[in-house]
Amino acid sequence: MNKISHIISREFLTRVKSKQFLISTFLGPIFMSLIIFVPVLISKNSDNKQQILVLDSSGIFENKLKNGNQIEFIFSQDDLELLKDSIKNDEETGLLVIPKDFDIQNPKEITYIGSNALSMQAMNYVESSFEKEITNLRLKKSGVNQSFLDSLKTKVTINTLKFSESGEQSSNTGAASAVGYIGSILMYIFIILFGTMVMRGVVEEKSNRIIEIIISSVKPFELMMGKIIGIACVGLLQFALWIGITTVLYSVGINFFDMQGAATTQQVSDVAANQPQLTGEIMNAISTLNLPYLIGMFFFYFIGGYLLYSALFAAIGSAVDSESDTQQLVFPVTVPLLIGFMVSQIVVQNPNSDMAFWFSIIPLFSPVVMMVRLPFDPPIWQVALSAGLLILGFIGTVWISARIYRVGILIYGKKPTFKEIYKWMFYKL
Amino acid sequence: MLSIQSVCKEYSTKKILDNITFEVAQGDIFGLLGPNGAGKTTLIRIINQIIYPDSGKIYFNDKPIKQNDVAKMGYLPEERGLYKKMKASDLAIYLAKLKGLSSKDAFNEAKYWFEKFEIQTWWDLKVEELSKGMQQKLQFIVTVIHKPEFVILDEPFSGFDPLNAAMIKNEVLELNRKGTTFMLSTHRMETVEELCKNIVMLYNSKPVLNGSISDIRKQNRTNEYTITYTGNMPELPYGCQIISFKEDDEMKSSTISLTDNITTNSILAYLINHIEIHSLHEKTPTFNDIFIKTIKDTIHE
Repeated sequence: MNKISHIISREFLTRVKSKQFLISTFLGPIFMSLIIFVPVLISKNSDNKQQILVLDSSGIFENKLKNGNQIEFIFSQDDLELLKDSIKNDEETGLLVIPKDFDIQNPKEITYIGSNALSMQAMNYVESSFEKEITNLRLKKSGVNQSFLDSLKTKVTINTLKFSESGEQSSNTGAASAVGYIGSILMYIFIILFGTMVMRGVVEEKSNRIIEIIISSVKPFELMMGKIIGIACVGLLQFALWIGITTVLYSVGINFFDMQGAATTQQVSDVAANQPQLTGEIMNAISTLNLPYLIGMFFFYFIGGYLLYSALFAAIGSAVDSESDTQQLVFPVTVPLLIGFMVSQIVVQNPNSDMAFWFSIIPLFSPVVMMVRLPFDPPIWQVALSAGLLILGFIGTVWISARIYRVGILIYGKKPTFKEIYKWMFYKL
Repeated sequence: MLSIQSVCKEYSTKKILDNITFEVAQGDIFGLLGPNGAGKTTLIRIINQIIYPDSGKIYFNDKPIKQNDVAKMGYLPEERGLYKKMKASDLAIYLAKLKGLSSKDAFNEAKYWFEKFEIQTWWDLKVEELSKGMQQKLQFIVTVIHKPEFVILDEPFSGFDPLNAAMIKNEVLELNRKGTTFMLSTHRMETVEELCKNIVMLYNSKPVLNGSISDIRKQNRTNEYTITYTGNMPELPYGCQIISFKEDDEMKSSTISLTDNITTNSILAYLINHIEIHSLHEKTPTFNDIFIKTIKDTIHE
């Protein structure tokens, strides 16, 4: 037992002291922050609105169409040809032509002219603007007065409530999806990252030929488990650092955006009012989730999934003489991970489907798929079943891998076939 | 020290070791010889308990060998290497700890050996920064750093430059004087003749030669003698043969082979009347000759 602790500490220390660890520890959170903030930045920068000139010969819609987030209507009474010429070389601006004899009872013949076709979203917005206005006009025509029309305007946001033991809890589907989605991506990346780290470690020992010296001191199983546990510690330390650094970067980022929001207040009070609201909304949405539970479960599933896969990666490492030979053998191990990852993209849309259930129970897939389901609070028995099976799963793969590993590390030469590797499991040493 | 008794091992019906029995005495430098594929590496792995025999027993210090005994053994494999990214001193200390030394003892031993080999300046260098010769020294240090009673060296001098090889040789002899038992697996017969007291030779999974170096030499006497003389060599009596003949400016030299019942005295008594004899000595077989002859004989049987 003492020996295994020496192995764990060597595996841990040599990696933690390395430059790569330092670099990835600091680049990781920057990368993650980028994933979070780039979409925000993009959505912010897209407020250079598309301008649409409106030539309303009928005069019905004059100054009645409301500007949207991305569309700005500019009414004009210039000559049609003149307007056409003016926008010919302008990619940003389009022209809407409403004919003189436009009939609100038979709304046709509105034409859009522009260098580029409008995006689906923009076209929807333009169309619904016209529809709203025409509805209003028709209602007015039938004798409904303006104040009654104003009172009809409503905006509906649906609050999602979920049944739970402590009564109904509010939840936020968007936040749950986002958190689940990010969780499954991270799980997938981390298992591959640290699993292949184990594999490279095994290959290094074998191609270095130090393996024979080590196993004349310790049992192969001790060496394999020492390596797996040592690298798990590296992974956990890295997580802890990542979570810490990301939190710092995130709060710095939020402050930065809030300050920007404050700065623009003087100029455009309308926009500024939305700024704190946006970040506030994100915080609110996330606060509806049980974050400590989710982070705790993430650690559990990472450890379980990592143990399960890293044992398999170790077995592959033991079977080859050099890293370049691992490519083909790694494939069958990464496929279930990849399937889990792809399934999780479907599951995120329907986290309580049969498919979601089964894939979050089977140990090969559960670490990745369960990440998507957890924010939606699946029944506790399902989580318990999945966790229990994951534990059995990694005990199984560790056992199988250890039997392959003890033979593989002694055999040099030709790259083995899967059939040969399978036979190794039954070798008597 | 070590007793191998009727050890057998086979892999998928191919016999690797077939009923191997021999003993290594305390304080010996024992040669484990044999051509490639004879089963030496498998036997060494069995002694190290990396793998286990199908049948047969191994005794270490008169008790059946157990897992803890590996702490009392040192092993320098034929295919050897070190962790490239580790500091030389860290590596030595780590491997000593894996053999069961406490952190403090491991540190002190590492210090002792680095000083002894006058390589203190490498203490903080990474293994990959060391030259090949330097790595070989370090490789030897990690083999003996935990003061093993029994050390297995597999082709210890292959890849070593002559200077390092001589140094390691001296180190082996010195440790041996202090009581360490060695098992030396090698193809190099000069090394065997120089260092070993007893040997076993494996061929085709079986032991074909076992005993002390001097006994084996005696058993393999060819009864051939080289005579230097002047004058003209006559025909030899009693069925003895002249095998080869050489001549330089002053002296002639012939190698003769005696038939079994003829002594050197009787042949000398005959020759003394014909030629002026300057010297006669026995042509002893080198271990290289014995090695090859034993294998050839085994093939013919």
